[in-house]
Amino acid sequence: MTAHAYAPPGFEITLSKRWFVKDGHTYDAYVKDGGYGALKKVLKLQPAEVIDTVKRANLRGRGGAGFAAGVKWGFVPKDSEKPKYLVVNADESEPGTYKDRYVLARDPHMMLEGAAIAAYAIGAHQIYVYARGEFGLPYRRLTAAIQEAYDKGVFGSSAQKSGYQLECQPHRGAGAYICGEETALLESLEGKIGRPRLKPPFPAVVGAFGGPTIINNVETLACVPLIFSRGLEWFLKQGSPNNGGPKLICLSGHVEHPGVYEVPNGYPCNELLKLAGGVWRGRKLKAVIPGGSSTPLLVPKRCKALAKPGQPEAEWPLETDVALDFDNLKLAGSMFGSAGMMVLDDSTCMVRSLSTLANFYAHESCGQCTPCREGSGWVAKIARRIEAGQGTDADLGTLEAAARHMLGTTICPLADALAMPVLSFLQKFRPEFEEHIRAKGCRVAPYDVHPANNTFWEDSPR
Amino acid sequence: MARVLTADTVAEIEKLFPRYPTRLAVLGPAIHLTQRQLGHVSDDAALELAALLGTPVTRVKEMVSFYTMYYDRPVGRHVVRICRNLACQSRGADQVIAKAESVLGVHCGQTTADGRVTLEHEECLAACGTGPALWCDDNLVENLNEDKLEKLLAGLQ
Repeated sequence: MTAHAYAPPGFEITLSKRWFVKDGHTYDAYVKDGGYGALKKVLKLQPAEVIDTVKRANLRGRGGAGFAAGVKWGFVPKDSEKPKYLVVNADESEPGTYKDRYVLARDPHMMLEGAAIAAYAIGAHQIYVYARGEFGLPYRRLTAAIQEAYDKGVFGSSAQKSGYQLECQPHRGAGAYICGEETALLESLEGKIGRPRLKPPFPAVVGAFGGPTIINNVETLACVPLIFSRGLEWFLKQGSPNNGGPKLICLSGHVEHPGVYEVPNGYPCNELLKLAGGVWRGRKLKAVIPGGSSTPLLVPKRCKALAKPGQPEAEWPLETDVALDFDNLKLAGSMFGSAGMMVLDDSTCMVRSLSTLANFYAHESCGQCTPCREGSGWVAKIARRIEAGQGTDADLGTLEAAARHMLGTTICPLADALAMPVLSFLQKFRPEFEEHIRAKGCRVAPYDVHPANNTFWEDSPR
Repeated sequence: MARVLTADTVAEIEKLFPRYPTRLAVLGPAIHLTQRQLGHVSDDAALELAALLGTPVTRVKEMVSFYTMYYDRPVGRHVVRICRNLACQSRGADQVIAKAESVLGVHCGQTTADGRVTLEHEECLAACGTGPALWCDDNLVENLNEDKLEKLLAGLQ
């Protein structure tokens, strides 16, 4: 255990519990905590009962979309001539997001138990875990955990002696952000380049290798055993209405104590920032990117949408006071996404920040759709030249137009994922962009090198 | 076509066939295994993989050019990928990258003349809480500062 606490006082951590335990990644550590007991229970239930329970638990996808997991499972046709598949999306790549990495490296069995439950519920006998290529330790721990689970009879021709066959195979990606998009992930799993597919058909009907497929995020699946071991009531109590269960939130950037915090869904953003020691070096908060780099900014300004009816303006909550769940963040004009929360202090240059993000999306666009391939390049080029002092008066209009042409015009949401921050940065920090154009450059020096030195969160010492 | 894959590499690739419903699905893992042996996917290796998996060589080439971790030409004995994305940038990654370039005498995307290190930008390693971060020889190096970086680079032989 570290000196700094990564959960609210008094809150019982369940998702990250074994991260703080020596050898918490092993089968023995998991079973000592009652691990794989939920799977035993589930294998005695009818699959439809399992799906119904997960639906009632209001478990929403932790990968970014927030879609109800149980509802998604329910889309799989009961009768299918083709084999069904359960695919774990462990391609964690959304900038700011780094929670699944610890689930894999420090407690992979909890996710594997959830995957086994999901596979049984949809009638799949094969699980693939698609992990991003740059995962070193997390991939090694995942592979070892799958082998352990085979050795202990969790996987194999008769899972937990139930007679139900369950196979599990880790699959390593090779460096492509787009493969986190579920249909691109399937293409990649099939041995092709990661280009998203047109939907419909949705993967639940035609997915991996032409068979019905459910793709769930690592954290989503790690939540599943809790629903059956702790019970539905407990799970609902850990969250807010319509958002069941505990939540992992990745804090990075300008806070004193970056790290992955486990909180109940609906925990207030401002309280979380306090838990993390507040904005670093005594500086003031400028903006929060709440759910990964594609989600619109929150700023410490009064927000009418979060106010109670009739509340005077001076008492409206700030955007950054928002309760952290999918519904409230939408209300505040942003998204919960993958809960990759990046905090920016008042010394941050927002033009530089947008330029960095735009560069990323331009690099990662798969090139399939013109608005994304060309638009992301335009946006990156313009943002870069404004930051470099070569911006023109026409640039902001062009930026905005390019972003608008990217919204909703492509096969997958990568284009939207850049368009949203562009519009948000321009809406909330336009004067900074104008100032760069006027002054022909940026007044902010390159940032100091200032790591948090929070060795507890490093891969290496463990 | 000259055979370049060792019997071990081929055996490891073939061991994966029963794990997937199609041969093509083994292509990604097969390229990883090829690179473990050769460091990159040469033309000969691409032809051999294509024959082994029963797929046109263009598919192999397309994969190698699409994914950043696959290489179609020799790279340094160590590939150092430094994150330049927002979270790492906010902790000083720009300076760390500049330091790496000056210590190694190459720009990102280049290999040192002695073939020791290939330096690359990386777009988010999912190590945002411990940035600046880099990835080298399948391990993360986190909470980087200039000293730590210099020591690491000096240790790469």
